[in-house]
Amino acid sequence: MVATRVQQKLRQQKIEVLPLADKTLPEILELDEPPFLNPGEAHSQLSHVEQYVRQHGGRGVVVEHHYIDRDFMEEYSVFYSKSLTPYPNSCRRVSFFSLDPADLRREFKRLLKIRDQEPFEAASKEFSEKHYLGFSVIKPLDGCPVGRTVLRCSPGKPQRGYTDLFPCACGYTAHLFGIPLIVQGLAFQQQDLGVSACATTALWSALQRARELEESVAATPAQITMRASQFALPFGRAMPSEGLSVEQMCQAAHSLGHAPYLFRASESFEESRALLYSSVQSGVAPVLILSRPSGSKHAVAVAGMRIKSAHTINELGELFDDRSGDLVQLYVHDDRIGPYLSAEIRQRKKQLVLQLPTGRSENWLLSHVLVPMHPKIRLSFAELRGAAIQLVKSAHAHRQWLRQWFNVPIELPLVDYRILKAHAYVQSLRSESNVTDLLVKNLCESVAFSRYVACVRIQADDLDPIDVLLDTTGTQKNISSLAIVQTRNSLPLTAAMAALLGEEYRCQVIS
Amino acid sequence: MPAQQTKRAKSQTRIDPTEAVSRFRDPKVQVRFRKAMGQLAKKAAPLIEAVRSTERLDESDYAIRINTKG
Repeated sequence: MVATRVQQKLRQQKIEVLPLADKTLPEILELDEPPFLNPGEAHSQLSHVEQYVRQHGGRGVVVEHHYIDRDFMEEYSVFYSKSLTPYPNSCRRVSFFSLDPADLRREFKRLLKIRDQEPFEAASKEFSEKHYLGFSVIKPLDGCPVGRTVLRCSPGKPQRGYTDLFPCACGYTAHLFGIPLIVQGLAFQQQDLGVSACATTALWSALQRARELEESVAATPAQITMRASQFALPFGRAMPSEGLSVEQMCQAAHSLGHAPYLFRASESFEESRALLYSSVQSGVAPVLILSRPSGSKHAVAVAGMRIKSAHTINELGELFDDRSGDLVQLYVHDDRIGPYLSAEIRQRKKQLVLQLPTGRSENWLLSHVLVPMHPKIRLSFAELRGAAIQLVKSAHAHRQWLRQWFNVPIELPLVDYRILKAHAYVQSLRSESNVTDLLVKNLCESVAFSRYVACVRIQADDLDPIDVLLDTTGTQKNISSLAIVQTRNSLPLTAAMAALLGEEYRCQVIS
Repeated sequence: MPAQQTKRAKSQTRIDPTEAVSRFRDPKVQVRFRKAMGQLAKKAAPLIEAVRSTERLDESDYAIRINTKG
């Protein structure tokens, strides 16, 4: 009889549609302040989530009082279920909307009246794009309630002269009343210091993106901490989390099927910014390892970046103009503070410093960057940059002799490079104006692509964009070129340069 | 600011790619090209070195402990 009552209670769902106007989120959720923490400390991340939602026009919330979250369930299984305090294994989920409760109910009714699947899905998608701002899982832990949280990654107020890009965002679908709600973002959660501290959480966020790229099951924080501490425990017990070493993070990424690519970022500002730019542009969410003069180390995941809308010349070695000079700010998930923090990039001597917007600005030196890559991508971002420099060198040398024959002026070419899936490259070409259908057809019919391709784009005032496609399964000593793609032919030098690069790098020219 | 950036004049006629490639195969052009590549290699060397140094890691890089609580 008792068991039946418990089962009935567990099965009960309660869904409330509430306004965001009258109360704060902790008040709406009736969260208690834990007695051993300072006032406001436990809810600071939740307040940040609330602030973000309000800034993006949030007016109504839907609270599901019984929600099973896979990430928390695993944390519960390995850690919280073994506590004396009987924590429940279920969470609550709060969904955020830019509509008042009355309008929200009306919209739900309207959507649920659509019986045919296709129009229903189309209407749900349209509704999501207009009004859905994301969700936050609320764990039954008073001291760290913010679980998996995905908020729409749209810029707040557009700042004149800058563009916000979120290539590391993924698509998430939540279901409410059977309505599929779609949001583009990168998952965030608060550190609980039981199963995960900053290293685990940052890697977890980064792996969300890797999961989308390869359509695999996302790793949970508990899995990451357990895999990281499987073979080494240099800093004591795994749980409660005492933090991880970089080696443990690499071990965790590797055991979850990713290739951890690590580079040092503390020696050259230009190099660090360039590698950061190309990895974010490639849509692989990098984990930034930050340090302070006091010696403390921190990890955050990158969700997006802010670049200058109008390119400004960033000349490197009198060889080329590096597009990465346009990068001014990163959007990072900091599990101590909240999601999508705008971290300004500063140069201090030769080093790259990130200014995090905490109560008072915190300056962190970028020490290393860990990028979880697909194992088939063997070409690293540094090797790709090296290859891009070689290509620019060739382009310059060609111009020098072309100048004598054809009176060609020498301009500094603008260069940028990234790694992306072959089909994503084709899609990006299709979306460019002036790229003909015939060129795309020729490319697809004549080039055998690697799963991921590296694309080095060279352009100048007298040169239309030329893409040099490289095989990412190659290594530094054996990089193969797949094709030279001459995207247009409106400027005098383009066709000749594409042909010459094709000749030199022994690959076909697609035009 | 190097002189190259101030040159914005564009050549008037398009260069025929077949002709460019055929001239590129000329041994004299090859010599000139290699010479230019050699000179440019000097400019590129510090850039290549800077980028390669980011990947020269040792045990100390992997031993960093990350544990900021908040």
